[in-house]
Amino acid sequence: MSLKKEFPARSRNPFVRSDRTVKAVDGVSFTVKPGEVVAVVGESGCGKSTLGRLVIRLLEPSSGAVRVDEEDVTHVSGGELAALRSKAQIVFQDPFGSLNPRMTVGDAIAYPMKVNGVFKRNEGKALQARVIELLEKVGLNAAHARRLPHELSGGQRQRVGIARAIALAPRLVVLDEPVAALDLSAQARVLNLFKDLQRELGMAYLFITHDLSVAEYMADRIVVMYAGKIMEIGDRASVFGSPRHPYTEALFSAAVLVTAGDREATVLDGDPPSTITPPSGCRFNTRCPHAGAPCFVEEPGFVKLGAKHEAACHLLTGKLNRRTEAERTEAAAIVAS
Amino acid sequence: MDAHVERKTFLSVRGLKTHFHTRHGVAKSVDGVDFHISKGERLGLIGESGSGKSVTALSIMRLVREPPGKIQGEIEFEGQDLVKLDQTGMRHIRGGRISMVFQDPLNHLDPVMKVGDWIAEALLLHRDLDRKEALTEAARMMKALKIASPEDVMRAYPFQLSGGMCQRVLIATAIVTEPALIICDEATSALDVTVQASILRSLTELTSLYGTALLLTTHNMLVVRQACTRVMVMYAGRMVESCDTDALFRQPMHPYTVGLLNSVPSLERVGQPLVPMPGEPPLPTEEIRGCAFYARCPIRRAACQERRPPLAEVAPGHWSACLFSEEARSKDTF
Amino acid sequence: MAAITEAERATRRLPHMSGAVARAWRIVGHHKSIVIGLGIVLFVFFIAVCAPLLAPYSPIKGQPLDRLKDIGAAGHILGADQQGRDVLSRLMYGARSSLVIAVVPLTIAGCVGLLLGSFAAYAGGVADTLIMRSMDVVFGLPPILLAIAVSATLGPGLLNLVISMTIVLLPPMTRVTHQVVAQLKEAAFVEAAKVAGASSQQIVFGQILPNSLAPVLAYGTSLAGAMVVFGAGISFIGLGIQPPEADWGRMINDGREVLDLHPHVSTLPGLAIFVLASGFNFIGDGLRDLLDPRMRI
Repeated sequence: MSLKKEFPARSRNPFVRSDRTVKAVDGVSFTVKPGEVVAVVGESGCGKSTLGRLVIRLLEPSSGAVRVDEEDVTHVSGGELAALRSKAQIVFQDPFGSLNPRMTVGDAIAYPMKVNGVFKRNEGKALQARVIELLEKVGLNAAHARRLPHELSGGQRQRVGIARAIALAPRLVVLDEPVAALDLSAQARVLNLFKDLQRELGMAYLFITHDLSVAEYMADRIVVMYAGKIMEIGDRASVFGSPRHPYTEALFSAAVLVTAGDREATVLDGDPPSTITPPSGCRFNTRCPHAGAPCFVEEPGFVKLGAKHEAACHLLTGKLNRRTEAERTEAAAIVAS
Repeated sequence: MDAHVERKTFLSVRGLKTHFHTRHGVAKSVDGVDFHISKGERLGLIGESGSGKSVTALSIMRLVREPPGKIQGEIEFEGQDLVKLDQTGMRHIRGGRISMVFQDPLNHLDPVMKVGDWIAEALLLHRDLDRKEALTEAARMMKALKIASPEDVMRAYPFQLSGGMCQRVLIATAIVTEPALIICDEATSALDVTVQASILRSLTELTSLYGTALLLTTHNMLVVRQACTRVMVMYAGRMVESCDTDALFRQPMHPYTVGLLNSVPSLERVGQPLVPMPGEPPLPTEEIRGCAFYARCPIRRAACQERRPPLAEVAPGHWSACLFSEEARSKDTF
Repeated sequence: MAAITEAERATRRLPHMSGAVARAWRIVGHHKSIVIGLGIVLFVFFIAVCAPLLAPYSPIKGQPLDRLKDIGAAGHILGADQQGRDVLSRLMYGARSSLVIAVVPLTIAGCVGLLLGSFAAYAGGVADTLIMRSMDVVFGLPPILLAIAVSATLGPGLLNLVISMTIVLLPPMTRVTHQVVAQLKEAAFVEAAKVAGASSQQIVFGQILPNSLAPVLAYGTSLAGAMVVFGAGISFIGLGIQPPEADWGRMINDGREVLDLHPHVSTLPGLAIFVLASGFNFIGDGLRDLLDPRMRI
């Protein structure tokens, strides 16, 4: 089986407003292997949604490259772009908005196949059969094909979105916060559906989420993003076993119900920085409890922490030392006055 | 409830029912709920959407439109029954003795008012201060909420601030009048998780400082774990479990709570499969015989349909509305 | 969030009544305004079309002996004007020009506006700016002055009135379409169509236009009532239908001089204008709900 690699390397995506650009994704590189689940974790504004869209070429990167199956698809259009569509798909966050309110469920699922000419004009029955097959794969049934989106629950609509995404048998599916808008009961069911589908169809997932526990449940590898850049990246065991970047620690503190003995709680004050004028040096320096002199001057490079684990922080290069709880409180007090 | 608890209790809800008369029938959003809040306590109200937790909060504040809503029961607060109080009386209470923080901060701030003026207005309405004093108080509260450069923020309009900052403003507005109780209705649901952690920490610190009680409604287990001392679980407009936070997570004693905990991914239960609960919660307009959770309960039996199981004390300080709570407990995976 | 889920679930569990008749009945019950509005408009339409068969007299030729007969007079149920022309007959024939002014400019401006507005919104950039700013210029012209200008250039009459009204209606229809399409362009399901591999053409015609028709149609219909009144006004000042043709606005003007003694000459056409305009307004009020796919229970 051919190895599939994607390098959305150094992609920047400017939305030009007057003469300022929003650097939504500012230099991100990683790969996704076939059948792998990579979770991109971050909070609002970190660029993870933009990244998802760059990877499947819904957006064009301003610089850098996206490679699928050894092919550079960064700037393709027309026929080549269409070919990419059958390899890489996406499930959106909003279960209602992502379905045309006037299209029946069956039509919505059939749409990608119609548009790409998967079935010929006279193969209507075959198309219908495939639609029903997809419906059943996601836990719905043939009766749902005639319904309109507003007649379904949030969880059901999201399943329709999933059926639509796998209709062309893609190798990679980007999941953009797919359960964030669902009820708790529906969340569990849809997450399990993702796992089942992956086992059955062998696709890779790029799972975008703000929820660390969901990432842990689903992913083989984790990418932690902040303000358009990767802070930490590694396989699940390493990142969850020993998170080394202060931002990752903060995410943990916010998500773990009890703090383990040696892991101090890191609670961040303030808000994420602007992506139009990011701070100089490390993007995290406005909220990092350990921020010191080098953090305001130089952006940290990635430091290898293990075979499959690296993070970008000056603490790991020896240029900086961790602050103790007391020192942190002191530093915070100085900032506040 | 023993006498010791009675003395510290300042809000008592008894038999609260909030029904809405709609085209599709009577929606029993809150259907017989009893609880009490003691001074300085932080109470969490967990439930999924449609469980009635938000309506409970709104009923206490009498922010429910009546008609089509109708509130029955008793809400005893500082010697008055809030259900029977007239609107003038409620106006004094709202913002002055009981404040509320809602989910979407931008919708609850006046877009054409500077944020500092907004906080000050709460003071001007409920306390005898002049404008200058009110603004100083507002700045002090912002500092307490760990907002760097409060003067700059106070001069800003809501659209210039982030969601987290707006929510801090709303909390400042709620606390500044030093009320006896602050109700937070899904107040952090729209925020990033680190911002949520920061705000919850500020909330707990400030309420401890002023001795204010907190009622937090949420569907997020994390919020309850991080900020609440006691928890109540609601399902289909009814209370199904009520106990200390620790007890809920270590030893849930109602099948719904167990099911909920098993169906939510958590970093404390790494490597365990998610077990979603089958079916859906009943509609508020449905007639329910017996236990509301019957249709989805893994340990159900005939007795559960006969009559509505009462909320009973199954362990010291731990109440459950399941006739077979011992069995529910043995099935937990915590 | 709770409210939305409640409504969703309520919709799911409503009994699906069988039969198109049952559904139609339910729609009627919920949309009395459309039914009333349609009733009025269709009634007027029917009268206008069948005027030659229904009208007791010629609308143009007057009987001098019947001058200024009042309502209820023998042979003239609604009276006669100064020239002895039967008011009822004139009302019937006058309905034609009112209907034409209400419907034709709107339809033309609507179609052109739909195309222009959606193209501008979808294409964006220079094309968008060019089109929308030109519309702004036209929008700035007071409709009456425009009508006068057109009449002065091309001469008075119904056709030229239609032309000037079409020009006047073009900017608002383009703007409404533009706004709707600009919003839809960002919708998640449009993104989904792109990801599925649809071309721009497929997206515009398959996804965007069907979802923009409803709001644009609803807006347009609400303007129809205003058009009836406006058209009558233009004829009132003499720029529309020319005598001796029957036209409601013209008739109001004709009756001005005898308003004190014989008010029916002006009042009846005024009432007709009111009724027709209201009919269109009722339709406009209820139309968007009807076109909302969520109402297809």
